[in-house]
Amino acid sequence: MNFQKLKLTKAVKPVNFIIFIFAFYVFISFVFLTGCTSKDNSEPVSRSAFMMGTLVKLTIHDPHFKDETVFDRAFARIAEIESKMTINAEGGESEIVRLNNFAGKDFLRLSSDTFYVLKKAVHYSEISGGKFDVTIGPLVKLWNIGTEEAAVPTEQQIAERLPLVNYQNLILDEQNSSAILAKAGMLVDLGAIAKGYAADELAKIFREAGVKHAIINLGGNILTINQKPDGSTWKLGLQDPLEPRGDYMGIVMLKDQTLVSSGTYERYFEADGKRYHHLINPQTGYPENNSLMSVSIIGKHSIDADALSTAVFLLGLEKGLQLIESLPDYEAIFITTDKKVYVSSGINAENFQITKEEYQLQ
Amino acid sequence: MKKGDIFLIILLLIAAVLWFGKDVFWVDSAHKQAVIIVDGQVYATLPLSSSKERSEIPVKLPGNNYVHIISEKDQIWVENSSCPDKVCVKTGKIAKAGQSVVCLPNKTIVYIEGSEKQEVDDISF
Repeated sequence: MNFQKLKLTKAVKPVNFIIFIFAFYVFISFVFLTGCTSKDNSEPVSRSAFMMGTLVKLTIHDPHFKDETVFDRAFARIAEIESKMTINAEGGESEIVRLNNFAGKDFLRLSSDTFYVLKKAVHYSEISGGKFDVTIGPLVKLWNIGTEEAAVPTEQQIAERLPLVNYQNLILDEQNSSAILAKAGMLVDLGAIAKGYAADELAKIFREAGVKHAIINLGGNILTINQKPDGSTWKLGLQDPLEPRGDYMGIVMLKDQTLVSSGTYERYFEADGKRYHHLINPQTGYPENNSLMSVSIIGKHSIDADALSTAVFLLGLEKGLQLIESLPDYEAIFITTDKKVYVSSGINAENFQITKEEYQLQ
Repeated sequence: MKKGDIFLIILLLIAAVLWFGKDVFWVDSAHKQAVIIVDGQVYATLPLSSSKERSEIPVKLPGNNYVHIISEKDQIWVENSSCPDKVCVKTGKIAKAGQSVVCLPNKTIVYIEGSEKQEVDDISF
């Protein structure tokens, strides 16, 4: 009897512990698997397309959202905006191409989309004192940066184009939704603002469709809808200007905001050992050669942030910072060529962290 | 409870923790892979690890266009491309998860995918 009991105890105890270990296993796996399960549910759905001369990536992070036709509507809207505002004549005559062809001749009636973007562009041309200039087309065409024909123009060629660049000679008639370029040869170029407008329009489509959490990425211009599904802020890497695309030097936290960067690393060509980037100063006719490598703008609307990123870059650190501080809804992060980082007053540890030691916050 | 039981229990506990912890803590470069996307479709995926030999991926595109991609060890890059701007070639070699090389004219993207949890949701450039 006693022997039997002993035997039983000996037999049962390890079994108990095996059960305990199983329970431990189940507990651990529950902790990890629930983590995985919730992750699976919110696995983002992403669609990409090459549009507006760039890579457009739309990502919905919404476990409850199933209507994927919203992507089709979004891409159709970008195609519509592109067909109105492109300066590339391929694929039909855009309103902007027609406006340019009407330069020095007559007013052209424009769609509300195009008129709105032109109006915004003129506004930013004004508040940046012409550093951002919507009529920069003749210089962009002359430099051809980003094409096979990119080459350094002669001083004379630049001198010839400069008088054609002046936003004050773009006359808008709000009542008739029409516009005219006063001088023949003038060219409007919406390359520094149209993507921002498109991002805002896509956000409208997403919101109207009931999308709660999404990231709209138009060639690196980011617009976030609300916050992440778990309620935390979105975390966006800020491109390291000296490294390949995707390598970031800091993280920007966004919630229902847009982040647009302009930098010398985006598009450029090299000639005689010198780098010529695409951010052309409309007043000198040459790529702006100030102390900056990049400017990133954070704010509510992408159209404004897009225009501001170019305007603030061309204004330079000091004057650019002044402009940003005069706009309560927009903030800026500046990276200089010597890896110093300057920020506007609304940027703090809550919304921006530098992740690479070599970059020094001033 | 005998010594052996305790030993067994500890052993099993360690095994349990290791088994579930391995995905979290054990991040190996062997889990990195390069993904090549052409016009929105996955063209090829290839693992990137230090033991991997050099491999060449000539992406042939309509109209005599091409993107010549080379991977060696844990790096991948665009060696040559028919595009006019050569931004993709100038991007150079990439090796870290999240990095990418984009050739807009040829609608080709090369990016590196890692098993480690991404710290950021997207990149602004």
